[in-house]
Amino acid sequence: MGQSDLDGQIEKLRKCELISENEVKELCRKAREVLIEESNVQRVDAPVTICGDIHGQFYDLKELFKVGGDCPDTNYLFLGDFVDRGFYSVETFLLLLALKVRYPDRITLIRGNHESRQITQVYGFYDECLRKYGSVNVWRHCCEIFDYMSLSAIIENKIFCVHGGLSPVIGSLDQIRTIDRKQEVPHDGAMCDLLWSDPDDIEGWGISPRGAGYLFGGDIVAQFLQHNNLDLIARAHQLVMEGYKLMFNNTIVTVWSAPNYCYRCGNVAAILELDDKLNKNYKIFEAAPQDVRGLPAKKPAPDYFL
Amino acid sequence: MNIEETEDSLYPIAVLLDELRADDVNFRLNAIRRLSTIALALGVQRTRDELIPFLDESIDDEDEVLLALAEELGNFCEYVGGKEHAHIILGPLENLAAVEETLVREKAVESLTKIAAVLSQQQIEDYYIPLIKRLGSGDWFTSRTSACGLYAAGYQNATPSSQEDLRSMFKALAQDDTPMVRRAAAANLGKFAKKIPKEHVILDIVPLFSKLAEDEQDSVRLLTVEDLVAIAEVLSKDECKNYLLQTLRSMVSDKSWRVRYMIAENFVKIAKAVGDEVTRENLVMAFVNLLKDNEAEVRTAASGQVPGFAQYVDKQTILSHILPCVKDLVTDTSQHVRASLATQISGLAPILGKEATTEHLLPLFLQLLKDEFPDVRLNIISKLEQVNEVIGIELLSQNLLPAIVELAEDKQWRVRLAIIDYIPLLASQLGVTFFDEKLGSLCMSWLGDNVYSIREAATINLKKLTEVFGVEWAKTTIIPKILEMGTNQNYLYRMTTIFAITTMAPAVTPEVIRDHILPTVNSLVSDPIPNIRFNVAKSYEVLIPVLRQCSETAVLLETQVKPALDKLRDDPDTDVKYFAEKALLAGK
Amino acid sequence: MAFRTLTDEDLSIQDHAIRGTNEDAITSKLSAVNAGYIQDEYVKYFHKRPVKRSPLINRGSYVRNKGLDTLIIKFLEIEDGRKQIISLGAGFDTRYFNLKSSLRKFYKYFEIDFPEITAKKVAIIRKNKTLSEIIGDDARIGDTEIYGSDYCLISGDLRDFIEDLIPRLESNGFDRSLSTLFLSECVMIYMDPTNSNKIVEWIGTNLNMAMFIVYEQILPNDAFGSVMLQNLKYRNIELRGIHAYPDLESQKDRYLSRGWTHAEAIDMNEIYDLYIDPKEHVRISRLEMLDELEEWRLLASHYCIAWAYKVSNESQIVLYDSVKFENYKEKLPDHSIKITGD
Repeated sequence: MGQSDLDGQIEKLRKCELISENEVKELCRKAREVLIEESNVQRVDAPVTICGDIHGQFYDLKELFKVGGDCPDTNYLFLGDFVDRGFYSVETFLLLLALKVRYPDRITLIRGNHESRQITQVYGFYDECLRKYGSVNVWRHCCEIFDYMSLSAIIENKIFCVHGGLSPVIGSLDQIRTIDRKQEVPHDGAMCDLLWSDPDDIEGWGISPRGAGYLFGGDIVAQFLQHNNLDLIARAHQLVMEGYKLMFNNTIVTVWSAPNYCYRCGNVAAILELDDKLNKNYKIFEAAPQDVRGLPAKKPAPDYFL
Repeated sequence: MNIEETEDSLYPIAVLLDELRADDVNFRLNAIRRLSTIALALGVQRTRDELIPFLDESIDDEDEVLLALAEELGNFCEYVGGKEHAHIILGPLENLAAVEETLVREKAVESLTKIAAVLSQQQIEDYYIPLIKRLGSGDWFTSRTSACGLYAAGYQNATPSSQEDLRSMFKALAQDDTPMVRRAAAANLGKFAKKIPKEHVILDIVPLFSKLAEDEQDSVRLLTVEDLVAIAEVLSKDECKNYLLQTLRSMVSDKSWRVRYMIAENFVKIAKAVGDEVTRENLVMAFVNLLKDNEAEVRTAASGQVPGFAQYVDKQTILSHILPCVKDLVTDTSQHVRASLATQISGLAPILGKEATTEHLLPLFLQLLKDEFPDVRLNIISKLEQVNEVIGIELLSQNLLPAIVELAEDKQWRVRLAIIDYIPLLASQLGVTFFDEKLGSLCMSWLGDNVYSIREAATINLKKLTEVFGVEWAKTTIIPKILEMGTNQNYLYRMTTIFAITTMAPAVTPEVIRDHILPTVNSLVSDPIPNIRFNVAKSYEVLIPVLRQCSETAVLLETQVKPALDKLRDDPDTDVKYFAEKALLAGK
Repeated sequence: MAFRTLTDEDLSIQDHAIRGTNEDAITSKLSAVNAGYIQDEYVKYFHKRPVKRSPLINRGSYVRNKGLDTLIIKFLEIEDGRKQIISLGAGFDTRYFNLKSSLRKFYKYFEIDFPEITAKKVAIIRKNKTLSEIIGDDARIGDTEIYGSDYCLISGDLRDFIEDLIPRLESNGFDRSLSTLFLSECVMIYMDPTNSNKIVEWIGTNLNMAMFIVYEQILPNDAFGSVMLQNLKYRNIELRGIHAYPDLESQKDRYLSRGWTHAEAIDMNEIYDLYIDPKEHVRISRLEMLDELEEWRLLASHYCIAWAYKVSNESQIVLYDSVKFENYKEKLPDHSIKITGD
């Protein structure tokens, strides 16, 4: 697959059009070559713009690019949860993946808890692949790529970025570096916790109501930052109505980038722009207006109880 | 089972039968979708003798399959041997017209109507009218509901005595005990009226209409709004007045807001159908009441009809009756009402003319431009051109400029974008002095906007302005400011500089590039941010053909551009390298 | 469940919206049944093709069903004579069949809905032996209505409750002197408050022992609520009653200001957190992984169960006060645990 093929596919995907199953297969093969080289704690240079969950909301991802700038002109770090819930998980993930293959230094994708075989079978990505391609092959290719995605990133050695949060079995970044990440997200252990945990107003560690990962308090964050000589943890994973939320004296921030999540929640979204000197600029954006997202012929309506 | 393989071979009916009995609904659906192919393979005789009777007997229990069947049968005429055999298709469709699922029944009625159109009078008499009779007297309301939709199609081809029957049967259905049947009668009354000679419309249809329009169920009443329009189109203006006006009056003040909503939604159609005189004398106050209705939905619908309705009344009436309501609607409590008004209100300008627009409408525009709901602001901005044509840009801009300047800093970036799109037009009309004074700094400030799309639009705007005011103007007014941003500490400003240069390059002269732009681009070759460096490469790619236009600047390609690109080609960053290579290639 | 809604085009759109709300409810319930949240062997007869709903919706259906069942059964257990239940806008609800099969005692169970809906319900019951046997051989089954010994399906418009429906209920055995429960599951919310208020007021004035249980949406004005209204409107569904009773306080006041003795209203978060047996929490958390916690909180806070009773003599208060939830978590346990690092 040459650069121009790839550029053509990116153009198609930007218009929310599908690429063929064979093209997906080839794209995933290329992506694997790129991702396999990345560390579990991938180094990222500033300036970079940090984005939280997208969840298949393709037209809202386009809105994100309108506000934050296009790739490759703007550098991006996506904190996972590209798929599930929204109507366009396939197009969303493939576009981001194609950009990753085309501009590996301009965009970083790390794994979220929804980048998993088990979760995607419950929350929509599996069904969507089946519906749009008539077989589960595309889902299989994508799931294989999920296993290669990095678990976290570190910006200029100061900002630690991860989808969920910390783990009681991890004290230092080096411990993350030793995880064998090439596997389905396990039900417990360090890798699971990084993708599932949430900060909470408690002391120490707590049981997560999600059934996976842990809750962790401000003291845990402080220890981790001090031990690793860091300034901030940036994570996603939790819906925040205001788009982003700082906790524990600005030592951890949740960034959420799916506006009007599930076409239902009414929240705004945010991205965190870091310039070359790590100055922070939170940008809030709303869901794409109706005339921009067009009207899918038979769009399933969001669920309510009627 | 692979259906494709058997496409061209004879498709035995046994296989179809198997598929139609398959457990998997998709197989059954596929079989139905291929009915015409099967019929073609069978030939018209066997289709009539075997396929149709089979379809007649086997009613599936899956609505999706039935829906597909109802649709296929509507196009089946040629497969049974043409018109003279078309009546044979009525059988299975009659069954489908009686099933429980509404969508299937509706599709069956649609197909029956299609078939009826090709039947001869004899076939109508022998097959179609008996079918209407059976369905219309069915025990189950579903078949009676379907029957209502079949009268219009069969009427004109029936004998006079059958026509009389049809009218009286329809009358019975319109008085059915079940509201669903009355609703179907109301939904089809207007279509039926169009097929009937006028004297019978007055004699038979108008009384039914009046009765349905007073039905106890509002869901029946609201469907008579379209009947009203259809009947009025058949009648003369005097007849409208005599036979319809009273009912129309009561509909306008119906106690159910849903009926009033339907009236409001169709108001222009109604006015057109009943004619100028009735409209002027009777509908103005009715419209005013709808514009003042208690329900926001009704006001929203009525707002949408304002310019349309205004065409049917004189200017004085607009000014004395409608405009006061419009003024109130501008501050309506419902944002949807205001948004609807904002899209429509500029349509009044051509009707009112320059003077009245300036006096009455401009203040309303101003208010809507300041509305707290962004959709209202956007709607009004996007329609300003219409007003512009009536009163001229000068008047418009003098009055609205302060509001526009305010919107240029609107919180919603799409509102800012709409304003930017409007700027080149404003500029061309205002002239350079006025523009520089009032809007110049605004246009530059967008370059530093927080939203990327606004910065992008701002650079395109500058290019357009250069086309309007000329290169000399650009050289002295905007280019220095753009270049100054190229030394800003914030890399985003330097990025904007390079974007702006790239966008504007085709609109300026080679000399301007040589004397002003190129030095800045050259200096950014060693910018610490790789994103800037690869955009510098992209910029060279655009500058090259412009520089080449003139021999004096063409030499710079070798002396400045190529060395810079060579440097970029050796950059440690992959993307910088790539875009430098690409520019070098383009430069050859 | 089912109610006619705003139409801007024609009959079919309107039909569609009506069918929409009823079928949506039954689809969600069937999904929750199939996933193991709810036991209900009758719901499958009312829906042809099962659809899988998200774990969040399944949980919501479960809490709704559990909450309503708890209160209804407590009502039936009050010992003050024969009981009637009148389900307003019942749609394809299967509660009658479930109560019968669990051998609950009541005098009569009435269901009211639009003829479009009841006609379909009649057709389904007519064709289904299991269902028609529960109703009994002696039942008269018409086009859109069923008159059985303890089950009565009536077609009509709730806006004509007093003038039209009450006389027809009475001619089919409704007895004003008996203790009567009125149910509205997402029904009155679709009505103009002027019309639904008439129902509440009439019952409060004309019955000596009555209970009302309502399940419906609240909080229309926050971000989630306004998107909810917008999305439903897009489907031609309008919650015309929500602004009149936008929160728990006003939900209670709806009854208290119209002659009722006592009223309660709680949202679905409270029901799930406090009034569902912790064993059930464990059971349903094993059925499916729910990774939609923040969304669950949002959605559940926008639905409530409100219940009220009206009695005419003081001694009955204690009886009707027994219709309430049991609090499983008087005190929330401490969630935090101590884990030492590696």
